[in-house]
Amino acid sequence: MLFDQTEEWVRELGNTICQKVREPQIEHARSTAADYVSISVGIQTGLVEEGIDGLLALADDALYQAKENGRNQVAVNKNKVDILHSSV
Amino acid sequence: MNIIGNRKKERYKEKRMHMTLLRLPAGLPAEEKKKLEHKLFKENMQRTKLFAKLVLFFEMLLIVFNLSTAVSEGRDILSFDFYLTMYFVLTGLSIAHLTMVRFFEKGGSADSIHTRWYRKGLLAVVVLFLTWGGVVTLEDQRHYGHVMAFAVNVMCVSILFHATNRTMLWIYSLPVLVVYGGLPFFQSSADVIAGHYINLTVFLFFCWLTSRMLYAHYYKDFYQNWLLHNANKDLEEQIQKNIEMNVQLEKANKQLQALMLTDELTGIPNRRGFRDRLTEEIKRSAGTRPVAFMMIDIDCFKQYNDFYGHMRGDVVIRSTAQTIHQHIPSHAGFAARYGGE
Repeated sequence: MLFDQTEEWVRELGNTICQKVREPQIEHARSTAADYVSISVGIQTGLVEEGIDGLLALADDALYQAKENGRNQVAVNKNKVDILHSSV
Repeated sequence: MNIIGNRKKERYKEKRMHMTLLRLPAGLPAEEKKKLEHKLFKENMQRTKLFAKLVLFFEMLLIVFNLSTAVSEGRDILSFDFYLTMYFVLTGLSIAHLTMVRFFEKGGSADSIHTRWYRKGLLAVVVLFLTWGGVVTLEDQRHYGHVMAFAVNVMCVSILFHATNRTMLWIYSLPVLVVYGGLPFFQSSADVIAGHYINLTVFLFFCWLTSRMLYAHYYKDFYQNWLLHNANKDLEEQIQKNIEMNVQLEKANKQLQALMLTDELTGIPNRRGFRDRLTEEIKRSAGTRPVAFMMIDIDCFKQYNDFYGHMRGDVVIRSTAQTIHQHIPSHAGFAARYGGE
């Protein structure tokens, strides 16, 4: 989790981590995404007052998108928190 | 039956109380007994010092009175007078005693060998004082025939000088021998001698009783102080131990809490640790604070585990977690293992 950062900065960080995890080239013969161990990243940005649980659920949605798009990548959720979520 | 039984018990208790007035409580260690004896000795010195001053004052008065009557009666003041000589002897003894006390007070009580000599000195003074009374009493037999001089001295010593039974026996023995042995030679009436023996014996017994009660009281007082001091020391130690234990408990508690919030495999916060830090951060943030969540999954990890085994799977989780953790600046946020991989 990250505080006080712009969406671009967070996306950049996601890409960096993605790359750094691939870098040691740990063999993964059964991966459908790459030849080595890789990760999928889902990002959701927002404001604290929008509700943490809602934002977390949306970040999970973004992760699902990244997996849908073939894994080994970063996906940023453009959706905003809906009222129902924020009231939780 | 019961009432009678209780009464018997009460009476028994009373009897026991009388006895405890004389008896010393058991359990005082030898080292403490020595301390008690030393304390008692110092107090005896102080009491006898005051007494010696009084004796000195009275003897001076008696000497002046004796001399002035001699002058008014036209006797030669240089001729031998038994009582005048005895007054001078006691004056000398008192002065010697006061000098000894002064030396003792100056020298302090650090040196145990010196203290032993002062003890002997004090005993000698007391024995001489009693013997002086005995000698005067013997001479009195030729004149008034009573034993007051000796009796008064014995009473004074019994009240002023507190000591063990053994010491008291030592002190009493020589003067008593002098008086009891000398009486037949100085008192001509057999009836008076018999009366003196009986009265003196009864008197001596009560003097001993008084002296014993005073000593027992002193001993008990010392003993109780010692018990109290020990109890206080124990209590203090217990409190200190409790404080130490609390500090250790607090430390252990903190360690336990840290352990509870950390993921065992990766060393980064677990789900509970994540929630914990999250609430802390939210508490600190006021109003609209930008926040971002990054959900990360290791791709096809289930397959990795199935193919390479759980041991190598764990290694991958650990190294991935470390990579993620290392790339998040601590001021920007933190990584946690939310669950699974």
